[in-house]
Amino acid sequence: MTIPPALEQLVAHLCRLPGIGEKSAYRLAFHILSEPPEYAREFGRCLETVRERVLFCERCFNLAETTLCPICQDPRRDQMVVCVVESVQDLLALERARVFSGVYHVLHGTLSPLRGIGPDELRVAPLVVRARESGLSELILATNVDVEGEATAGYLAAAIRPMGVPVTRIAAGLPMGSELEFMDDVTLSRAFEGRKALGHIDRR
Amino acid sequence: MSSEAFVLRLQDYREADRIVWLLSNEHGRLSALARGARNSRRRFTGQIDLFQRVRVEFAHRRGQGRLATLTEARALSSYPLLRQDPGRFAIACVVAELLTRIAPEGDIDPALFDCVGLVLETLADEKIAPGLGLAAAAVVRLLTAAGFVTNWIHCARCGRAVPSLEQPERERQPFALEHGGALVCGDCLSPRGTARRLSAADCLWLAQACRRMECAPATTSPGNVIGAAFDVLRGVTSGPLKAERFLFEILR
Repeated sequence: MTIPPALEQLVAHLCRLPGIGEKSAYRLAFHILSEPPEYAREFGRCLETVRERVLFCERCFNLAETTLCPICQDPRRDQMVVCVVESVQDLLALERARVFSGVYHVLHGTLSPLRGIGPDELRVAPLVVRARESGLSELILATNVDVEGEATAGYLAAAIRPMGVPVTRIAAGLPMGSELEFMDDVTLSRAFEGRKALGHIDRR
Repeated sequence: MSSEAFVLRLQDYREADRIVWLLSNEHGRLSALARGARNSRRRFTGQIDLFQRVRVEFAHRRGQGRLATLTEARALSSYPLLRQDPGRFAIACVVAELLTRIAPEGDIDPALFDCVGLVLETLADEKIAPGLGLAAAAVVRLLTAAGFVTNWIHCARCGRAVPSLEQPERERQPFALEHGGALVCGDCLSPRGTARRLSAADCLWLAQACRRMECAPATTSPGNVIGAAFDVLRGVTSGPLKAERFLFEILR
């Protein structure tokens, strides 16, 4: 079968997206073809605009359309408490949960020597400068609880603690709704290490 | 199929899957697809992470080539210090990358498997400080276990022995490691070739580390012995390890 070159080109572009194989690319391309022409036009405009307008916040490296992202500009957020996350997706997850009222610092990855990713490939240097110059009251390390996330947290703690900034790590342990019998040893041991006294129960 | 294995590398694949590189004691080095590993709480979460010793169940499915499908995993040892201490993490990354290069795919090598367990236990021992010497000991110990044996005691050309440390230092014949990883004495050293100078103490330290990593005493020139260990490694694999840069950044 001869495929129109324009379609072939679209499929080739879609194939470059993460998790999209050739079959999925064809499915998406045929979907675009089946929609009214305005949809494709609007889609194309969106792609162009997002690439032109969206940049990184100069302070925290979140996505932004101006030099500072909406979170860094928000006067209600505590600028002295910084939560370090691996990715913008992690930041969005924390924002969805509404558990944090400070500001963020996005590393855009974790230390991964096996892939040749060291501190220079991450936004570590700006974080160190921020910690040194901003007089932070707390730096919360919220990298993932896997080996690379933990090693990154250890590396950052070692780099920033000497500056006198209190460094904390998010808790790790049992997820909500889980059952002990299905938990692995590492999770159980972390849950025990992180146990805390039960507070007073108000019976009013 | 079932086996004990060490997790050497992980790579995210599609939305929620992960490709896992393993060194197993019953099937050699293999890679497997862990479906849903990034969001399944029941089968894999917390069970598959770098450097862990795990028991895995896997199957070879038609159309997936050499990539097996991981059906279950259970962590046996997780070596917590390797994730908490950046220095130990850096050495463990070197160990894992080295194994992805030198361990033969599909070939069973119980001696190498046992050696990996010993090396990781040593790295995770809080009584042993992480440093370039420890990294060198890990590299030469694993290379030896995998069959890439370097004679650190005798000249590879004339057989002359490395001088004893009891001999006065000024009388000791210099030795050097030639490009490709052969130890030669000063007389046999090619004048045109590039070589790393090694003291008798370095040679004897490396010889001891090959046999018993956990007993290797502190070396006086860790930068030189890790350089020698990587020189030998480059003789058996192509190019430097990606993890080398981070190792030197952390432990130099």
